[in-house]
Amino acid sequence: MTIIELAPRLSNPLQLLAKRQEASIEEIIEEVIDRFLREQRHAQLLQEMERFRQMHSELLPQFRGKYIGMLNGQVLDSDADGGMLHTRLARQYGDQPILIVEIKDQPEQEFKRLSRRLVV
Amino acid sequence: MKSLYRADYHPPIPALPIRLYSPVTDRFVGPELALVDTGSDATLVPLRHLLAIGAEETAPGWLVTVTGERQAVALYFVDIYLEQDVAPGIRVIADQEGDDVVLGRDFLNRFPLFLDGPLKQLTVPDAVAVRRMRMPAS
Repeated sequence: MTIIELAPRLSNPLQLLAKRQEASIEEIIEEVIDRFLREQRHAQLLQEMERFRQMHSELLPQFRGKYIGMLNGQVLDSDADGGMLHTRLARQYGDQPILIVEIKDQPEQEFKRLSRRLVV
Repeated sequence: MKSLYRADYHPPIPALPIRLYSPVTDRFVGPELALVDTGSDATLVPLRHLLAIGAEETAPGWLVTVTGERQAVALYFVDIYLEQDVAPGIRVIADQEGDDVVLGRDFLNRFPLFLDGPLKQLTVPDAVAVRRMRMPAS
């Protein structure tokens, strides 16, 4: 556990918010940090995606039909099985924001859904 | 294995009891009755489930609807369990708003499924039944 001391300008409104939401201060802070870390990871993956787009035509002949893991423009590993690649990279590199993409004719990782939405 | 359609949708919709698992964190979530959507390329999973098993985003992607509308999405890898069977390493779309897991063809095409609309029941037939169903008509 890490102990963080908050300035009064943060802790006072936080206590009020916790009371209003019937949650603990720890729960609110954890939720905020969790969202922040997720947004940071997403932003880093977007940057990596941009590097991948620029390199796509070079990578296509070598990796067509495979998944690759990329960090800072470097291909770290590849596999025909994306799940295996993901587990391997996560065990080797921990929480690093490694982009895992399938190498197809187009760089965008696109999925189609015929039903526009499900209506209850 | 038999599973009743979910009657909280109108018309009732086929559903399967699944669990989600992250081999990285060794955490499960579920079981829950996931919707069957053969019109979807990929499986959609509520973000809260992905967070519950400690899964991390692996790529940004796009979900394109039948009208051509493009929505930016985040992609994750999870294992999906259907009773004792497992579909490992499925790349799923995080659903920020939905409450239900929606099983797409990336998962569904791994199993023989029998949709019995009048009985509102989905059956995953056993190996003997599958062999019989696949026999050419004489």
